[in-house]
Amino acid sequence: MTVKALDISQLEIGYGQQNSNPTKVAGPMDISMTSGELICLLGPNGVGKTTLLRTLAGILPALKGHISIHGKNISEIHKKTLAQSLSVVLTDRIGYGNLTVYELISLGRIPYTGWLGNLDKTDKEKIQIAIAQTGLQPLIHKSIHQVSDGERQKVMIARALAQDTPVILLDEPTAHLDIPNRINIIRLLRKLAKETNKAIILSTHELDLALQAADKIWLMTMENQTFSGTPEDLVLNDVFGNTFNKDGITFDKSLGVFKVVEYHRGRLRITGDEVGIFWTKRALERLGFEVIIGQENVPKIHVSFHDNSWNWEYLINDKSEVFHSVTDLTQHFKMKGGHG
Amino acid sequence: MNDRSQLSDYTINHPYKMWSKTVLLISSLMACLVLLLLDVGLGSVKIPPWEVLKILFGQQTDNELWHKIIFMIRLPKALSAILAGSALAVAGLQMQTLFHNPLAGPSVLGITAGASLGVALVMLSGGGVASIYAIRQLGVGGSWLIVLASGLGAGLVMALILLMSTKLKDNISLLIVGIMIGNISISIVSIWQYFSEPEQIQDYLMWTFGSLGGVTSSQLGIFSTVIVVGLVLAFTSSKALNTLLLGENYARSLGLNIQFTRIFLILTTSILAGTVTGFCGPIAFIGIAVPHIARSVLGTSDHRILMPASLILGAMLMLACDIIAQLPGSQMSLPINAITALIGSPIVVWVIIKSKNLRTAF
Repeated sequence: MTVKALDISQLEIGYGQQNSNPTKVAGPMDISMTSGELICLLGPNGVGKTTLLRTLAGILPALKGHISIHGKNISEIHKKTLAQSLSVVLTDRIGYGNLTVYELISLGRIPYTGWLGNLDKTDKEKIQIAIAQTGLQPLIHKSIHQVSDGERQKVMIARALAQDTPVILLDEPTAHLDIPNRINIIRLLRKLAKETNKAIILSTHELDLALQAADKIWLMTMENQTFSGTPEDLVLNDVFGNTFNKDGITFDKSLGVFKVVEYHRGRLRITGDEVGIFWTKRALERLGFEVIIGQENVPKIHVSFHDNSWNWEYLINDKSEVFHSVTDLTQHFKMKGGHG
Repeated sequence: MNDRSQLSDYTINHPYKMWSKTVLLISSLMACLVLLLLDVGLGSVKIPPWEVLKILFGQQTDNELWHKIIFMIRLPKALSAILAGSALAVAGLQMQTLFHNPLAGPSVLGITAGASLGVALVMLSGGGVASIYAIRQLGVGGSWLIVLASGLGAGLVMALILLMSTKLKDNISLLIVGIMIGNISISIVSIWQYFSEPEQIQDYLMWTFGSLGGVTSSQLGIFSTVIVVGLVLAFTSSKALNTLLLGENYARSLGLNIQFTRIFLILTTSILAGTVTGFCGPIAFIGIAVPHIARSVLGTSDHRILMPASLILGAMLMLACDIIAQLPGSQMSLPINAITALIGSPIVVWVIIKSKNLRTAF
């Protein structure tokens, strides 16, 4: 059997380890990962994702249990040596000072430098590799205050890369970023896991991105269970849906997304042009209709596209009405309750 | 290929090339020397500049009095200014980074207040015949008794802060506790003053004005030894301070022992600030202002550069303040503590307006 990059056994996490009555947040949990894997740590707010990451990083002491990196128990590793096997990207706002991007990334070399922190040739090479991997060359002279949020997140990732550790932990690296930046960061992390054979764990609330990008998902539930598996297994076994299903929010297994709206206005059937169906369905669902594509005896809308214009024919009780835009169609349903 | 060219581009444009660092260092040391000569040359007794140089370089002079004035009074005073200025600036830099707070300074932990309490204890305890005798005998500023009393006061507060620092997990709590301990010390002094004789209060007030001239040549040896040791210790904390720029959690993840670092920084700051307060009285402002000036002028947060820069700038600013305090050309001199704030505050305001990035440094 190969040695796990990270192995967690009977781990209990929480606060106040030195008190007689510590607050347990989660555990005991038994999970592990191998090198080259990208793990997404998911779970509802307050389930203890950040606490888990901080415990793994050695920032918080574990209440019970063991964490080992490449077979070595982290409680037995000297702090400085641990810093050479595990790096982090946290949500902490930082007093960056007047640091340039380059200076900030070079702080990742601290576990390797001498008493004054001067960089030698190896350190500079590692920094350059980290800069190249994150594509930050054009920014290295800029002050950290002059770069955008997405770029700053990349700088923090580059800093972790410069630390040159086999395991990287990231706490919500995509929070506060727009969609292209989110995808960018996740793509970068995937690439790094594959190309550098690092074990990378990130916590996130982007369920759809996690489902697409993660090799495995670690799922923490409010019932204090921790599941580990490929995204697909967790979805098919309903573990995924059950964790987040509450207050009428449901996970659509067939689409892999959570439904934003609730159905309260009955059912409608759509036929016709495929693209038309897709967008019309969304509009109607937003209004609260459950939309069916198959054969069923419910009021029907037929979408068609000819002569460069869209037409919607609404058939109910042998009467028919034609609309020429989704706005008109939805306006019709907004005016009347239920089926108009 | 593109990557290569970017890399070489970096080495050319790096803001701290070897030569510019050396030039900065040499030119600032020269400026420091000029200020030192000015400080020694100017005073209430007029000595021609040429004679000053001759005396300093050990040549015979016709005027024995001038020789005495320079070696017994002016040179010890100027050296005290250098020691005090550099010590306070470096201590301030350490506190600002430790607490991530632009308003922090050497006095923030209550060390200076503790020293004041010690001094007040000696000066205001009216019954103590011995203390009065000692002060009258040795002069207020330079009295070993005062140095000892302020050292004990500062040490007591430092011990209290160190004890607290093992209990308190975060630095902001520690900062608040430090300020509160300072406030308690100051109010005890106030109560004591309220019940004291006017003459005693006047002695104490004179001490709070600060004085660089009180350090005698015999005390200078011990003063400089302690400050040099403190400064060397402070320099070894440069890497830890750089790590702390990332915040405590990141620093921990980089293998920094936060508890040890904190105790080390408190200890060195106490040694530096406590010693200066003991020998020169409470000197405000330098410790807060100089690190800001250094950061702003050099545009960096790298403590390997900020440490020597604060040291030299602190010495320069203190010498300049001392020159101004003597009111060149007049027979009068002003209390140094008033001058440091009067001269320094506008400098800081100017730096802030010019750079507009003070906030982003924290």
